[in-house]
Amino acid sequence: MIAIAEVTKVFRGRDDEELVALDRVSLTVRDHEFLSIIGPSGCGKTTLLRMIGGLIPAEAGTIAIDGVPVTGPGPDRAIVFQDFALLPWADLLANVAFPLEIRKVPRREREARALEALRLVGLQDFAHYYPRQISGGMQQRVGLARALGVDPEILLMDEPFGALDAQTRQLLQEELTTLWQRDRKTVVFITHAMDEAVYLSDRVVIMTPRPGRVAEVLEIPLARPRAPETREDPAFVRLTARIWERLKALGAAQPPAPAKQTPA
Amino acid sequence: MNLRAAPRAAYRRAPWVFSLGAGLAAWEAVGILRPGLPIPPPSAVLVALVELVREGYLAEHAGRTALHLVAGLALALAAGLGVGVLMGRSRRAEYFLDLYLNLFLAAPMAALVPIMILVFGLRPSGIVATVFLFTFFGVAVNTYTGVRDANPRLVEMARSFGAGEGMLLRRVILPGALPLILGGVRQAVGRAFNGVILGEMLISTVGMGGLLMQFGGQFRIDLVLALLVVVVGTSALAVGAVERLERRVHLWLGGAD
Amino acid sequence: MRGRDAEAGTAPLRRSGEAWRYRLASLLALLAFWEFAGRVWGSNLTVPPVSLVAVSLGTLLVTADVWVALATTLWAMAIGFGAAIVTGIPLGLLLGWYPAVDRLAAIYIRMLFSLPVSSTVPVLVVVFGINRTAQAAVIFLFCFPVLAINAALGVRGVDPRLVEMARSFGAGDFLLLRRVVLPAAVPAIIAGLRLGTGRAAIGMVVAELVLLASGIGRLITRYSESFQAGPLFAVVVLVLGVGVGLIAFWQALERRLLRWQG
Repeated sequence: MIAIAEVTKVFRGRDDEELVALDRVSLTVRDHEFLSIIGPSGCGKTTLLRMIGGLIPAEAGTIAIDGVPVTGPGPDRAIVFQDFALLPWADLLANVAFPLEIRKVPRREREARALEALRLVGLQDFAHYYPRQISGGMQQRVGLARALGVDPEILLMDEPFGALDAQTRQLLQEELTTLWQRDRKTVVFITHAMDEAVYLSDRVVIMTPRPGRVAEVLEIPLARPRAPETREDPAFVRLTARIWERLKALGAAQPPAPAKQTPA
Repeated sequence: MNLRAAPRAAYRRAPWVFSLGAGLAAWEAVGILRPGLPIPPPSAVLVALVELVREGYLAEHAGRTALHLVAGLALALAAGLGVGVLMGRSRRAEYFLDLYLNLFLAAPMAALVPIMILVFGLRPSGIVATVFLFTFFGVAVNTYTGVRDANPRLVEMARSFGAGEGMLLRRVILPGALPLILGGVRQAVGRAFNGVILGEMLISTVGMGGLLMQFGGQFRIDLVLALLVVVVGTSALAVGAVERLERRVHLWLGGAD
Repeated sequence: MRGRDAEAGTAPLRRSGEAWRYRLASLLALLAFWEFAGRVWGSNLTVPPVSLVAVSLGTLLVTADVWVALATTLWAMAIGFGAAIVTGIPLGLLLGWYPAVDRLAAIYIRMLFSLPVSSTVPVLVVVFGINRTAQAAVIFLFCFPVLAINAALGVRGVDPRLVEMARSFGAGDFLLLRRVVLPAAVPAIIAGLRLGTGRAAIGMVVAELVLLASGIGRLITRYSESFQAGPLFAVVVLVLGVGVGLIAFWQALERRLLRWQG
């Protein structure tokens, strides 16, 4: 369980101007749930993700995982990045094995585990290709394989499909939900796209524009496992529209105070 | 391919061979038509080259020069890489040292040779020090620029998986900085030749530089030119080797062919 | 070192004030160390303390000697550099524009570029004698290739679409050169001038040290032979300063140009 309590983050700009990225954000992520965070640009959702990942500290408030406060990156969490962040000078196998190499796993074992992870995403035949030789969709699969390769409890995904075209995005959404269904890791998923959030998640957190606060938390009671047909479910359409309405309203005006969230 | 096409194809591939050949031929012709000019024709230089080898000048002195050059360059590479990495990773180190690096890059380093003579006397260490001064700053600046401008997204990714400084440098920062670093090394190799020749000309009576002064004093311009040929040839080979390395690294890192 | 990485993604810290504080601290530390080392380990025969160098520099600057020497040396540099500009830049432009010229001349220019020009001094002495002309020739050889190569790069770097556009409106070679190619090549030409100045400064020092000590070289010889380390260091510092100053001039020009171009 990830407990985010009254987290505030302020950035200091070039002329000492202050940017409040997050303002007293509180949120609880349940174990084994797929949680999406959606909001307008600049609402701090990526910042929040990186704080959960331990990459940046909070000004105020705490983030605790199973009671232990987050002080830095750890083996229980892995991030999938929007721009893939693959090492251009290493082949796919070495890229997926990279976190294991950091953890000093011996070569043969880490290459075996990396190959397994590549198999999960269907890229085992491309193990010795280089990132520049494959498409964007394949590169992101590698990013996913890399994160899964360390077998983390929590997967943090920062708009992972944002840099891909619509068809690839849909394909990867379906692959992701199938993969997730296997061992149901806790996932915090950042996205811009409402349909993506509804399709993948158990709950969707809607954030306000800067300074970012939690505007609303929506339960997604759609049946699991999700399938391409789910997109035609009237409930799906309703939920997506609901989020769209809320985002539009948020774009127009600021809510006066942090909204209450539905009980965890 | 018929006989007429072959030379044209060769010309297209390496026009410089023809241009150089024509130049040498013209020079030779002038030498034959007007003997007694201060600059001897290529044939005389060739004879002098043979003389250099036969009399053992090359063996003794080229070896010395190579030693001075390699010693100074190796020191500069080690120190330059070390300082460069430090400055690239630590902003404090960068601001502490960047003034000197940029200053000495722009300054005429040759002016420091008299000071080397003062400090080291006429010993070989002065020549090594000269080579070091000529090459260190370029390597350090290129290294620190390459390390400092490492892809921050990749660094963040590595840190998110728990990478420490050693892993970061080895697998993320240095590979990314390699093109710039190698560029610095290539420039350094060229400057090392300048430094060793100038140093030897001013400081010692041995080595290629010393020979240049000696033969110059004897007005043996044929020997001087022969030495020049050796120096330029060696320099071109050395720099060319680094360039080949640069190209291979470029391909490895994903550049276009 | 963490500080550097933590900034990734955050707004850049205000750099200028912070940087200069470190640089100032560094300079003060260096001067202090130099003073200490000079007094303890150095002497009049090796490295003098910085205070002695400063005093010597001050004394020198008020006497005519050093200014005459500097003027003599810089005059030779001006001649050599000027000749190189007048021949090198036009040649470079031709080199970049006409492939035939490139095929013919490129190899010679590249050879000259990679040659340690100091080694040509004995040859130049034989051709010109030990005089100011030879000095100018040394300086010329040092900076000529750089000027030509950069001018050629500037021409080759012109956006071919602009050339195509101008030709489509019927522009002839000369107009094309004057209004499209040359302006686009200016940044590279100026870069070449900056690099050329650096090499010309080296050339002038080499000429003074190896060929004929007519200006600065005379002072350096005088102080070396009489073991006056203070004035020797002062002269070297002066020469370094002049060299750096000349390059700084071009760098400032390049920055101004960049601002105009937007």
